Amino acid sequence: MAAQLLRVVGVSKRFGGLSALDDVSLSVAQGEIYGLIGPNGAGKTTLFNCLTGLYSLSAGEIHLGGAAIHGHKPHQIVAAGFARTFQNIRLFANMTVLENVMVGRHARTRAGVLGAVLRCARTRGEERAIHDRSRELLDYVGLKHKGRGLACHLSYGDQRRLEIARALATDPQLLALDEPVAGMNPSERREMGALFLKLREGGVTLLLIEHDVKLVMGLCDRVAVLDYGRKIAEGTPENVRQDPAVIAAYLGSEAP
Amino acid sequence: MDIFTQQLINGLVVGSIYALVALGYTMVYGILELINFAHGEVTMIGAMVALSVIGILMGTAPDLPGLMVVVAGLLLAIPACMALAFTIEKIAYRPLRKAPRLAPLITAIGVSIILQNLAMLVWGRQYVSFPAVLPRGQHEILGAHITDLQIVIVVLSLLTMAGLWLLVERTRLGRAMRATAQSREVAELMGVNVDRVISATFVIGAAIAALAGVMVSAYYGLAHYYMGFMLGLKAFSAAVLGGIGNIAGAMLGGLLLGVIEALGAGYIGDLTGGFLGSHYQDVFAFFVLILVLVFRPSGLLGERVANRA
Amino acid sequence: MPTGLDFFRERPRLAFVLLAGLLLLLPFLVGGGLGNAWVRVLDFILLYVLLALGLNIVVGYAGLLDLGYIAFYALGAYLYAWLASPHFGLHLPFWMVLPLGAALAGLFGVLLGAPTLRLRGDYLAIVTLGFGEIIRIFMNNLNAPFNLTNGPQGMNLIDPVSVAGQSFSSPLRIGELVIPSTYLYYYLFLAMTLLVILVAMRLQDSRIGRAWAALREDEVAAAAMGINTRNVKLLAFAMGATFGGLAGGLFAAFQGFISPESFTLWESILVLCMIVLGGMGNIPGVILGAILLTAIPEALRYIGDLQRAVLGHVVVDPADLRMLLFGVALVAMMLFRPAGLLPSRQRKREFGAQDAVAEQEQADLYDARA
Repeated sequence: MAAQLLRVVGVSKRFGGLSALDDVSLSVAQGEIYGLIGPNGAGKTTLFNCLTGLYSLSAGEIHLGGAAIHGHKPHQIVAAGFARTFQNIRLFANMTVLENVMVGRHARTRAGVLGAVLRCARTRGEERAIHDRSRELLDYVGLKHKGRGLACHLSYGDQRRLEIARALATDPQLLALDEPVAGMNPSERREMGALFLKLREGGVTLLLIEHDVKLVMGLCDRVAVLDYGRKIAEGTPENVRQDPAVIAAYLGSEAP
Repeated sequence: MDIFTQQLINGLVVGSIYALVALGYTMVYGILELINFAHGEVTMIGAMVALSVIGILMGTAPDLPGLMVVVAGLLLAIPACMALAFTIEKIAYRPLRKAPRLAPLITAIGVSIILQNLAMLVWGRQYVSFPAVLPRGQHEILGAHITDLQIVIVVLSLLTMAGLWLLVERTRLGRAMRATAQSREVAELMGVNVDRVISATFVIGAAIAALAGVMVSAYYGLAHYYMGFMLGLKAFSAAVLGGIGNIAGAMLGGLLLGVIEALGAGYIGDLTGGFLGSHYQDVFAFFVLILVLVFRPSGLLGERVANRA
Repeated sequence: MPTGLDFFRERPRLAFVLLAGLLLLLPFLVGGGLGNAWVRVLDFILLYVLLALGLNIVVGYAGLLDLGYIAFYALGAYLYAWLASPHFGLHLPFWMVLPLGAALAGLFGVLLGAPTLRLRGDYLAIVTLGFGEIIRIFMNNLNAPFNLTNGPQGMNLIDPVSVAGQSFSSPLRIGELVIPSTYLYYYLFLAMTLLVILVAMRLQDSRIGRAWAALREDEVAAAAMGINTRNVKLLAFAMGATFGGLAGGLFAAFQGFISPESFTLWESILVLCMIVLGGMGNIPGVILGAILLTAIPEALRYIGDLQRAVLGHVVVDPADLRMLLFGVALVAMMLFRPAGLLPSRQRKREFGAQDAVAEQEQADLYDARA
């Protein structure tokens, strides 16, 4: 097995008396597509928020490429190479599509106030590089000609694509996608699936929350199942599908 | 004379007025998450209307007992403020309920400026003095003086707070207010007329503010078109100190802020070796406000409002 | 109108030459047409443009409502007075004092910003308001036991700006031509304003400017894009405060006299009004707002004359109307044209309806972090 990129050890998160995550451990290998599934309210998004520094942990450790990232601020985690998208798309709605991606380059660029005001050769070079890279990324996710419009004017599917492009602009090793195909029709889903494979070809490791079991089973190398904040199964999609605990969780909480 | 007890009494008196004004801020914030910047000005209008009525009555019927004149002023100031708050909410805030947060706040500042300057046009730039018509008995407790007026202020404030408490906890309207504060959408689905509840909240807050306005002008013996600004800020600070959105918090915060201010002003000279004097009194409210917001934004009794604003 | 604008849009060089010529000749045109008092008004317009551009960085770019902004103006002004007046007997040249004042204000911007960063929106507004009032109260009272500010009387005999032996407080004579003091300050302020406009424009269109915009749009997403929201906010506070401090220094030199009266909350609100009226985040809008709100009150003086002419005496003092009209303007703008007279591309939409769900989720995230 390839080297471990993300290692989550015994992570718990409590809100007041409510336990949202209970002792969750998992590890994602370099270059794989790792799926995270589970019924609604199982704690998947909570885990994402813990991983990306939006929530502080009640207990546990998180390591990215060997370095501890728990307790770090979101921007530090991005700088370490871990980017994410949001379940309820959070674009900078009133900025242009291109500007959205350009914001993503923030962590990988340096220009400060002085550079901005003086517009020295280095800043101009950097701006050009930001611009070019952002265009490239828009092209990559299939939004080539939509850069000038406002982000909020994009169709739903394109907004999801833009969120991915924006996250990619931070040069992540690991990209966490929170229900990236929710609300899409089957053909859009297929296109997104192809995009994920392309991303992996490009060397990005993917961590995927998804409800679409078919997509997860077809795409993911390994899958973990959360239920009531606990990991109840982990393994290849085939193994997990037959796991009695998983079947019980799904049958027990939702109609089959 | 014991300075500590004296300042404590003075602080409690002023603090109970702060508490009354703070109730208006906290009720509106609890339901709309709006800082009703104009609430201090509503208080000022209450004082001004009452003083006008008192002046007219004293001119036309000089034989009326003083207390009756003041009560008449208060009884007219209350509906005036209620009508004013109703109008403000309807014209300036209601159309902006779905707008981003900065919009209603800026409107509220605008309304505040309008009221202040209208008051200046109507009542002039000078201080309006409160005629000496109230009984002025004085008592001694623990080496400190307390006047009849101070006793009346504290007792009336406590009664008003108790009344509001009953209203919120025991009546249909109160239940609707609490439901709306929890979730406007759900309350609406449950058949609560949210617009009416919000109007009622503003109107009740304004009635209490009118009382506070009359008290504060009677206590200091004067009123001024600018008085609502500082009073409002302090009351808001009191509401934040207690935990904004929390009615008991506003009461506690008001009393505490009054005491902090009085003791602070009394002792700041000694504390700083004479470097700062009692004219820094107004600074305390702001320091309290900033400290609370930075270290405990949910206030003393607040629950979940951290960083909500 | 649009046809006229298009005409110039197609001929940018012509437009530039005409605008530059107009700006250079403006004091002579205004002074000749309306009298020298109006050149003074021009000077104040430029000062307010400076202030509004500074506040626009905080409010318009980064979306942080700062109601204590005038405190930085005050700091710049007081520092100028301390270092260039008989008060301490110091008479440093303006080119040294102005940057110092700007730097001091910037430093205070960071000090003010640091504890308030966790707060959002309306709480931040109230806390900054509190800071502004605290600074004013101190200025009012720091005349004893050690006379730092001379209390409510304020400080006077502040040194005017002086370049190459020519004091700006006395007219400049070039042969036959006599250029009055107000004209000299006009050119100085104009130069500063153009500089600040350039800085503001470049900041807006930069990595930092994009980070501010992202912060304003969605703080959580901005953090998730690798933006250090704390530093970026502090930077906005510091930059805005620096501009404020600069304007304050210029104000002190221009007036020769300062007192706490000039630095009340209402001045902060006035500058905020300029931004709101003109269009938050949009530099031409902010400039328009500053021009309108400085010039209109001056024009209102004529209402007094009008009353005297028609009614025989002044019924309503026009100065009293000023603030009232501002209040009405604020409310009316928010109700009917919330994005301002010249809205920025972003704000036009932003002040439309907003997704309540997203806002609630943002609030929840904050709660969970607290």
